[in-house]
Amino acid sequence: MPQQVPATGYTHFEMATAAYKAALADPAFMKYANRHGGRTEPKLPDYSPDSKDPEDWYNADVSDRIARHGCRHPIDW
Amino acid sequence: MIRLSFLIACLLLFGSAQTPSPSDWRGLSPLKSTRTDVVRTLGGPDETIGNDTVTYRFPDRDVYFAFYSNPNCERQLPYTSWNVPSDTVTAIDVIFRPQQLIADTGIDLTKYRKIEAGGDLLNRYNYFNADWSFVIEVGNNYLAGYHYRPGNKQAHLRCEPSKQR
Repeated sequence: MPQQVPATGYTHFEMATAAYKAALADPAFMKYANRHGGRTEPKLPDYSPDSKDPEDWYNADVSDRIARHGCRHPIDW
Repeated sequence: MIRLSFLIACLLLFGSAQTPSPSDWRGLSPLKSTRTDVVRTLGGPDETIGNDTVTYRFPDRDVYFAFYSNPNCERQLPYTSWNVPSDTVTAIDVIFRPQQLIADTGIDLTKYRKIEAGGDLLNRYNYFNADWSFVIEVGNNYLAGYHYRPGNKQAHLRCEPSKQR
């Protein structure tokens, strides 16, 4: 049974985690990642009102770094 | 009479299952519990993300535990970490699958402070308790999950991320 898209959408953490798992399963990507400083891992976001990263760009960046590798166009294309 | 008692018992059971504890999840809470406590309570994790995040999968929810310790804030890390001994729980996230309409959960959100989540997701809000240690996340009127974090009283243990976007 296919997984339904959650009614609330996907967070940066969920997208980063999905990309991270896909990357781990791809030896070619892991070889690339290890040549470029190693992989970065998703982290649970900081929800504090004092957070320096209230929109969780850390996890967005984790996701982008992995997706960018397989993307035909630049990330801001 | 027996039927009425059964009905009341069911209602109490159902109601208590829907009302989250703001201080802990199954007795586990940030900066108090350790990795050993988590394993003792839940067994081994279903997945790990690196060395410091573990996942437990249940039929109706995924539960994440984070161990982002940074003794004396010595390491420069790009995410928030905590000046606590290693293997201390620093965050717990409970993510529901499938998600319920918030109106069907019986949770009284009027007790919480509502703040827009921001970012890419529209119509998504975080509801905080008084000391910011517990968050109910709601999107499009559906309950997304609960987030347990260190509260205001533990703010002095926070290690700020080394860089921001």
